[in-house]
Amino acid sequence: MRGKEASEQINILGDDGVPINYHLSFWRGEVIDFVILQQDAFDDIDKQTSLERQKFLLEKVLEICETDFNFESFDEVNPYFKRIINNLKQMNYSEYKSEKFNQYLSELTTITDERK
Amino acid sequence: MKKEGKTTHGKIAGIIANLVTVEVDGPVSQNEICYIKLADIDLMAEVIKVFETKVFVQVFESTRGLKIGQAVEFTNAMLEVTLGPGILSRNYDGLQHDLDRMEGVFLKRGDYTQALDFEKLWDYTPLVNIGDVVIAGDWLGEVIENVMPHKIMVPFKFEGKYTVKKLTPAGQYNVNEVIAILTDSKNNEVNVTMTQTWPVKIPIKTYKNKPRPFKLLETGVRTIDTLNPIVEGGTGFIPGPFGSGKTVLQHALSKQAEADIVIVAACGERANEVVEIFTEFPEIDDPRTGRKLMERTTIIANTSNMPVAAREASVYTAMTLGEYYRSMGLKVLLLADSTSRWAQALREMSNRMEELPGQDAFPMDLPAIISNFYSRAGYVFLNNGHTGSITFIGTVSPAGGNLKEPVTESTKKVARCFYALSQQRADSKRYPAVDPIDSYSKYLEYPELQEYLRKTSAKIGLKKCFLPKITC
Repeated sequence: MRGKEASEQINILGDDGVPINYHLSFWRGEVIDFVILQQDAFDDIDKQTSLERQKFLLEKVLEICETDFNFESFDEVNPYFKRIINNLKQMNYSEYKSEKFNQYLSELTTITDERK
Repeated sequence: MKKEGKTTHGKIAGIIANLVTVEVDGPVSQNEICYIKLADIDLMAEVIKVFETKVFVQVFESTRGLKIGQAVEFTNAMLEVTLGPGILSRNYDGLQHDLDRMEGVFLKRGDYTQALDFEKLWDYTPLVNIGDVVIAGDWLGEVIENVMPHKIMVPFKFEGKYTVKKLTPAGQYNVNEVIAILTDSKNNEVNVTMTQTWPVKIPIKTYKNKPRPFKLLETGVRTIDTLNPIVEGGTGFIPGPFGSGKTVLQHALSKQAEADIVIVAACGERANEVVEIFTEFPEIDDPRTGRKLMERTTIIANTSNMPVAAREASVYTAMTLGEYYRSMGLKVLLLADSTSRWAQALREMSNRMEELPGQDAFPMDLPAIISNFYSRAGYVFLNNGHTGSITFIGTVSPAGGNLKEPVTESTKKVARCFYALSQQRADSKRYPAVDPIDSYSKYLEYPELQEYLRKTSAKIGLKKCFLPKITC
């Protein structure tokens, strides 16, 4: 909900007219949207998520949303979060706890460690 | 239900589209079925209003060619479905006529086919012993229907206690073979076969109790399970504008949800969409059994070009079939697409009878009709200690995406889960387009569910709730 408000503010005031925190709120909302809410009903793996996997994913996403990332300027936020989303989406398309899945997971840890 | 006595006859006195008024010569009851004689075919119709000797009947077929004075014969029975092994993987119309047995590209008027295959032999095993005392709904025996165990039960219409007098040994029998002879308290003998009939508008209540549902139903759809979970025996509805993915979401649920039996009522949808269901479902692999999904699915189709009165009956037929399987201790997922078309059918008839209209010309008792229908779903404890459930998810197609219209409003009062599909999300290709802020699941407020989630390892484990309305 906060992400939606932030997006409206950014639209009205412009990218550089709002504090970086607004961008962070917006992109945190986008992570939840793209990774948890959106689901590909036509992909063999993504179409069904077990409860165990949902719990894991939710905890991972919440962990990202609760982390204070450091950014110098607002234009760093967009590409950084897009990388996180891409990585998590790739995880959604990989079999749970498979080699590929774990590889994306470790890549995600590397990405999140970059700006902690 | 069938009553003994003289058959009532009547003559057509007036025709307004598929509403026919009949002058009768004897007693007629509400919802009784009658047949209108038209040349070499009989048209099936249902009594919806009785006033002195004038009876209003809704005809389940086109009334083209009917004339004043034509003969009508009443059956003394309400609209009933035939229950027995062989229902799964069939495609029925709203009156439980097998669509696959009908000939031709278009359905012929008055073409009524049998619901079950009376020739097929089933591997039957008895589950009771001679001398056992049984009541309606108790399990007498079992056959395997596709992959599901199908219980042969004491007919639901039986009242009081019965004693098993004679049992047919395990073997191969067709559905009409007598599998047990029971005696009632007055020592009258009654034969029991594998089939029975039940009127669709009366709920089957052969269970011990019906508590508030408390068990999470895993659907595999993240936006449902993680945010607004539905429970076994719960009710939910999906309103959404055209093209927002109602049907795709329902298909996803039917394929993946943790249910034993799936019943799909395609009610008043466009014929091409229903054809898609017919062609797609037999192809889909069932992730749970490794076979085809169709083997544990029944489709009840009543497209928008089929008679409107049968559309009203189709949702009741689907629910009755669901209740039948629930009595076997199975988890049934019932999907109705869409309940708005059903409400429109009610509106058409109400208007033709010149009843006082409610909001948007829907009948005044629309909220009561919807509540009664939704209350037939639920989680039950059977008399033998087993449990069964019907989880009902209906879609609503609000005209112009207006969520304040009467069908959505009335459904909102009774369905505990609300999955609002948003046009904005659908337009930006964010599927499933369930709006996380407008949607809710009232089951999260149930202490029973919270307790269940705490107890089981299947806890969805919300470490921190990021939507303020969720309390856990």
